Amino acid sequence: MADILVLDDVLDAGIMIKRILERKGHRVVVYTEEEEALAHVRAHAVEVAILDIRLKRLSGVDMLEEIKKVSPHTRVIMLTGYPTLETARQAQELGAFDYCIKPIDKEELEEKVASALEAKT
Amino acid sequence: MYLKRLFKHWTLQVFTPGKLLRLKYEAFKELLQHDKKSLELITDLEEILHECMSVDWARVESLLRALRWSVGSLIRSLVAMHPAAYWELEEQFHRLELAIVNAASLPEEDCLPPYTLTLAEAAAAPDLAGGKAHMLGRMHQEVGVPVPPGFVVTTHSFSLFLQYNHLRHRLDELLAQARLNQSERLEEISREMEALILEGDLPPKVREELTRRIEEYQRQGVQGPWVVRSSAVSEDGEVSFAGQYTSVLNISAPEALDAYKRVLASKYSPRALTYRLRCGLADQETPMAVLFLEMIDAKLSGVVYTRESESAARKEKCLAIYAIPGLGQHLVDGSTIPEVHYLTRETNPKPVQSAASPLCPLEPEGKARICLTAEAAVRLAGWGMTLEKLGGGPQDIEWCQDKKGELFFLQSRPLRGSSEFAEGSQEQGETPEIANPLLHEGGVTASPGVGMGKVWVVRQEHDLKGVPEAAVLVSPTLPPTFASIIERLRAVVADGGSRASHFAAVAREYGLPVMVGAIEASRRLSPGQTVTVDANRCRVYEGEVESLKAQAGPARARPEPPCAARMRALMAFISPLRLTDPTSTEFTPQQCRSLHDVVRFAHEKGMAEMFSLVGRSGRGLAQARRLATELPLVMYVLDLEGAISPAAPKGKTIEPEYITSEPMRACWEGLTHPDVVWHKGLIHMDWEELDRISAGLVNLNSKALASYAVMSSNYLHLILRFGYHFAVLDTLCSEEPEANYISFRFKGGGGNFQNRLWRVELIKRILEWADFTVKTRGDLLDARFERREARQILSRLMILGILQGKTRLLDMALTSEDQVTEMTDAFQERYVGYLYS
Repeated sequence: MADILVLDDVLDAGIMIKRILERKGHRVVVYTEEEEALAHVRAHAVEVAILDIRLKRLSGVDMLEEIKKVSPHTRVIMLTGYPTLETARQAQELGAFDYCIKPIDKEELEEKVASALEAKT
Repeated sequence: MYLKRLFKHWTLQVFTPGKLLRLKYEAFKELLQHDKKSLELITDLEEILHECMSVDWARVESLLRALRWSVGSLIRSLVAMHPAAYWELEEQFHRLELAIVNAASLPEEDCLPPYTLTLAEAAAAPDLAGGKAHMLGRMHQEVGVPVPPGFVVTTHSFSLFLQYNHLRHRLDELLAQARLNQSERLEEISREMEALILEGDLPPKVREELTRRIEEYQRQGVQGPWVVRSSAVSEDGEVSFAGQYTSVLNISAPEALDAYKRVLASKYSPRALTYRLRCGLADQETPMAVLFLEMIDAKLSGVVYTRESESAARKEKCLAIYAIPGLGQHLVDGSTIPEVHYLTRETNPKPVQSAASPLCPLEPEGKARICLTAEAAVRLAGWGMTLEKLGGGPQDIEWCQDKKGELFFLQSRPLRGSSEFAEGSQEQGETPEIANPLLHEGGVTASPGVGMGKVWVVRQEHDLKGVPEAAVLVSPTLPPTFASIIERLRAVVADGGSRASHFAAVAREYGLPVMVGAIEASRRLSPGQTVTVDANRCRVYEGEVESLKAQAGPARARPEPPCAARMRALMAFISPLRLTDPTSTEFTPQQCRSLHDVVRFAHEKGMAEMFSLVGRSGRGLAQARRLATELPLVMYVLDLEGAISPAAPKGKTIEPEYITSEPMRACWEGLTHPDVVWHKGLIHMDWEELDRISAGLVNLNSKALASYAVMSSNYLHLILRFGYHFAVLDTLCSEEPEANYISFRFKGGGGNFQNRLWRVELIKRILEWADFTVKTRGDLLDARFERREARQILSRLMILGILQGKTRLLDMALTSEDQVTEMTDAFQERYVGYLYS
């Protein structure tokens, strides 16, 4: 069981991820606002963060950078429906654990999270 | 970038062959991942094509983005294995990408002014004003029929609203998850989209324009209140969208901005979304304009159908006027029964017949009360015929009459299903002899046809969740919400409602039989009872009527939705696989005409790269060797690490007993099981023959047609090829059960499509029995078995080997479902011991 944070500007997309991961026994919080998500990372130990790349104000890549500053041990999985080489490269440079493309299916998501958690221990 | 990559490659090759091998192997593993993902995405898209679009176009776009990324990554992995070798493939891929983007493109969402139009301006600007406002403008401008004062907020305002609030990609993300057959999920998605619109801010320019228009009217003495209605592009055109969007009534000037957003939001209501998906229209193809009309304080409201049958039996056509007291809402939402007037279809129409509403109280002297005067009916009918000319065919027209007796027209659109009704009515003069008990007789044909199914009685309009497949829906009224479950219905029988109800229009488009005004039917028909509804003759029989079966059936074939044509054009660059023969001179990047070809080419080359003799001296990569076997099977094996015993003699071939890769040993044991008959002589002969007649183009010993195994002591990637049969097996069998898996993919084969499907079904059943998770799509099968102990992995590999050996020629031999069952049982009985060994 792990603490996982999901940040997506579309609430429903975040809730779908929450449903899948909670069935695996994880504790999952979902945010649509960048500031609230960041405040959560400051206040709690988050093992895995799943970030959409298109957010309301910041980009997911900026969020990745912020999260890594506050909590370097958090494994960050980028999840985007608009993949580009540019964001993939930036994400990698900023220490993202993985760069995944929507639509992502249940098995793939579970697998990515499991490997992020393994890499942590 | 490119030179740097190349330089890195050369340096490594010269100085650290071991590291190069490792990098190459890493790149190869990535390539396999992208290959798998790409094929899955192609299959997802093919599925949408074959299911005739029960998803939103946003889903297609999302899959396309993912596919372009996966194929791009696949090529990057291949390039990483051999820098500088595949630039032609990259170029070809970019050409295909461009073609795909072009084929998939939707109309641009234009955000430029004008943001509002007068009705007169709307007459000349269908794309800005939407269907309803455009026609209303023409009615006013071109033939001078009376319409209420009003104006249009254009489709460009809507686009600007989306842009201003950054909503397009969020809507697309939600739309991408919508499925016609998952109504509860669809409702959740809908609610969030509606909330996104309602929470959005109106762009200042739109706000100013809208306010200015209303103030202008106020200065001219038009005080409102207003009726605010949708006027979407495509609405009232090819498809009607009848009653699918919201209209809001009684809006005062200060409420106008909010009412505008409410109408915009209704574009994403479950009802409108379902309807749009069913029509195969993309969100961007139905941008919404909004019509503001002064609200008429109506004494009477109604609908004119300019071409209608007074009764099913009567052949000559009339014009029909439906009227109810007060607002028209109750007429079109199917909750009441109107009075009806029939008139001749002439420039100066003459009354034929009138019928009062059965719900209307009688006059004191006992006569049925008629509300619409004969004089007003004649005027309405005259204008109706004028509008039929303007619209170029029979029209469905909304009108109302104010307290002073003035008539106004609110909209006019093509009347759907009138011609089908006419044809249907001609062949049904005689009632056939039917022995089944007659449960109900009487009512009006709202949509012709015959339907059979089990009765489901709906009391609450919104209680539609439990309605089962193939239901005959019986209801006191005929609300437009029925449209959201139309796929599940075989027929509808309503106590109330009329042909003028919105749902009747949708049902006629869809070809669903509907009877209305069937008084007491909802009490006479009992839930669960099987009935036959003959909507042409307005009769309901108990059971299934044999003589009517020929007329019953699923809704008639619908015209091809716009998305389907776009999808087909698009899939021509994605799906067809032309590169099937790696030995052919055509097997080149230039010949990749689809992404499927690109994926196939890259996978083949990736394998070849793994097997290529980087450094012919054997430096870096161990040399691939041919497996020495009596079987008519050409297999090359490549040892990554510890897969071949050090004791093995050197040479170009290797005896199977020296293989130390555990997964390979298990698989080989299965393939060479005594039960597997290889018909050696026969196959050899056939292949030789093929070789001879094809003038040496196909060489049995050609590496390109061979099977390959890349293996280490506990890993195996195996490509099996026998003739047309193509299977890929990827497996890890280590001491950690959590890491272990078998992934097996199988596609194609000779034989016709049905035979191939049976073989896939056979393999599926057997693998499921062996605890694999199996997914099939068409003739593609994907099976996984994971997180198990090594001995369980090995037993499954052996079973897979036997199965591959035994089923390789079955695509020609399987001819029935029973045979599949028989063979599954026999297989299970014989090999059950291996599962638990």
